[in-house]
Amino acid sequence: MTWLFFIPAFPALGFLALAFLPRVWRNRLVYLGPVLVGVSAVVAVMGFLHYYPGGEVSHPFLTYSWALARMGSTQLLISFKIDSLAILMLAMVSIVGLCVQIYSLFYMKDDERRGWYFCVLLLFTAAMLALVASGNLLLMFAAWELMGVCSYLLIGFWYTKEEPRRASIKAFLVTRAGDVGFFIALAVIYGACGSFELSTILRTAPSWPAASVVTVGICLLWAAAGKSAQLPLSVWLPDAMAGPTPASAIIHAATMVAAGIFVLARMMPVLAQSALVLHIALWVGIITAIFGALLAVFQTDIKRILAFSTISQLGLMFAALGIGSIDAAIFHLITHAFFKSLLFLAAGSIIHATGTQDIRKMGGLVRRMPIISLIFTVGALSLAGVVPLSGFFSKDAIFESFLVAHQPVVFALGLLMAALTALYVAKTWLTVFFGDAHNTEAHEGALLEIIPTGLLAVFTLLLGFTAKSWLGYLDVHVEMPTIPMATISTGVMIVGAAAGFFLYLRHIDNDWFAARSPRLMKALDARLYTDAFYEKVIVGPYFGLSNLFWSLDRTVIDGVVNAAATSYRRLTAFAWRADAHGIDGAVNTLAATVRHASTLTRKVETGHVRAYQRFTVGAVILLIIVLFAVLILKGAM
Amino acid sequence: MQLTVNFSAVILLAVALFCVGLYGALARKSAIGILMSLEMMSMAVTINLITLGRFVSPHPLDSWFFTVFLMVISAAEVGLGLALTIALYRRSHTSEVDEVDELKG
Repeated sequence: MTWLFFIPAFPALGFLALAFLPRVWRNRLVYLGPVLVGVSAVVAVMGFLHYYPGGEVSHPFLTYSWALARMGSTQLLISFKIDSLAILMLAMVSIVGLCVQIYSLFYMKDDERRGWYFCVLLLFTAAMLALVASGNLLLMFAAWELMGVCSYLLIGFWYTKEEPRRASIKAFLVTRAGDVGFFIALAVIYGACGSFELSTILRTAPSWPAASVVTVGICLLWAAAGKSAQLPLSVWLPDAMAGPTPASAIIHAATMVAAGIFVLARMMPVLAQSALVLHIALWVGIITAIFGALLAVFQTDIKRILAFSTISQLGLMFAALGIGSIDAAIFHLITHAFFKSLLFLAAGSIIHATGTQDIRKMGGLVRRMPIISLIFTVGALSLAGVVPLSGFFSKDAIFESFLVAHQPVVFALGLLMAALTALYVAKTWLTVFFGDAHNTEAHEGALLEIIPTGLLAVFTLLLGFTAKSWLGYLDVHVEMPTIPMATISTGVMIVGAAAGFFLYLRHIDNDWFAARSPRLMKALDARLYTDAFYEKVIVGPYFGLSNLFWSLDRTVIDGVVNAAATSYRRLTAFAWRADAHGIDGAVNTLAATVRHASTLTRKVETGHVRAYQRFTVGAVILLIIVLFAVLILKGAM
Repeated sequence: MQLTVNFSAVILLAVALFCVGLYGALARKSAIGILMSLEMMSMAVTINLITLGRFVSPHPLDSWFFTVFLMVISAAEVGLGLALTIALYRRSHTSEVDEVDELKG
């Protein structure tokens, strides 16, 4: 089964093939995307079936490594490790990736840069597959960074518009801030055990010093918070909606945000060494869950509702990791990946049909596009946690684990989050599909929309109650919800949904809240000031600092240079004057004198021979006279 | 018949000849005239030489040698002068020295 290692290679090869082609050829070869991811999905599912139901989490089925480079006596290894966790993730990522690819064929068909879109999507999928299959933190980090780049490219795909451009830079910078944590964790891990191999790290983790464990744990939590959009690094995700909708689907479901949860799950034996780290994860997760659900209630943009719901669901997974329950977290991660990508793709069809993202301008769509409405409803019910959809089972597994870990407060907060989730789902669902139709030209989706979303809907329907069989092979066991548990969560869900119905029927919208409590509504509008916090604490001081440096540059450095230039110019002006008046003056005066004198004397030179004769004769006569005078004077003496 | 030669008369003749030559050299415009006048001055000097050799020197033959020498030099001088005049005529189609003032300062 060594060909399982090639699962990430197929999309990566597709990327390499497309990346260097001219645009026209790339646009013709977009079918390469679904085909290659499809091959990966087939291989992953075959691998899954091959090992099902054997295997154990702690014993990888396959490992493979080769030395990338050598540092002194240590080898830098790149290695793959496929165990039950990895193969579950591989299957999930490639199936969701395949659905998104097929859907993108429809959604992006008129974009002139669709070839590049598929190219980046392939790289994105390849990076996520490499991340989950890697048995080595170096390879994991490389894939992690690659996903950051791909999300940047996809969010900013329509880079000529201002909003996607800003959103892509924001997403990249915020996740980069998280990546720093991963990098520090890498250094500390290497210091603690001298290797980047997962097997070595997990084996030696119990003997690490406490300080290393806490540092690694907190840094990894920070990194995962960046990728999985947890507080305080959640700000990038709602803005990431500026990208194409299928890209949002893959970022929100299969790849980007799942990476943080996955890495934490992988490193759980290290994190579990420190109760502090787990507590931080638990509380960050549950607070983010409430935060996301609360903000989702007040959004009017369908994609933003889904974005905040992603933040909230990821918070639930984070909290599950915080009590050490990998299985519940991964279970929810997988079911969430299916129903959230389903919701995004269906929302993409709705946006495509109505031409707006504002739910208040939709309405009555159940009559216009019944199939898409049905599919969206499956996803929405799963998100709300309705029996027997998969979301119900995975969410209850997490709630159960809260109770098992004796965390009643967290459990109560989880129920509150579930109620809020049911509330915004009900409100959105009613607003979008019922009431007066605003869009008379909205139409049913094309086959290329219905096939992938339908496939995801089937998974959403089936994955829940079959969990015991397919997840049971994760060595650890996910219990089906007990009757009291199911009763409580369904009751909470019904209360939430009823509140949603109430709000919808009484037309209680954001304006109603704004009229009752303007300050609260303002805070909710500003996303409880998380963005403002960064604006104030990071962006503002950064611009202030750069302005300060700019003015320092202007006044001090430019000043010195300008002063030097000015004084030099003054000096040369002075030297020029001295030259012009002093030296040139002396030379000119001399020349003028010589010329004047020569003008006087040259008159003698007439050029006439006879004149010269006369001069000569005159001179001789004068000489004779002088001679005689001298002789006479001598004689006289 | 013993021809008696008066010393003073001969010297006066030489002086007269020299003065005529000097006047001619200064007054003539023609290059040939100037050359002729120069020859006259030269002849006056020769007469002086012969006369002084006859009446003053103890060895009269010395002056004869100098005279012959002087005549040869005069002949060469005239040849050179005429050659210059011809060259001047070829250049500027004139033998009037006043017409030529190319060396005017």
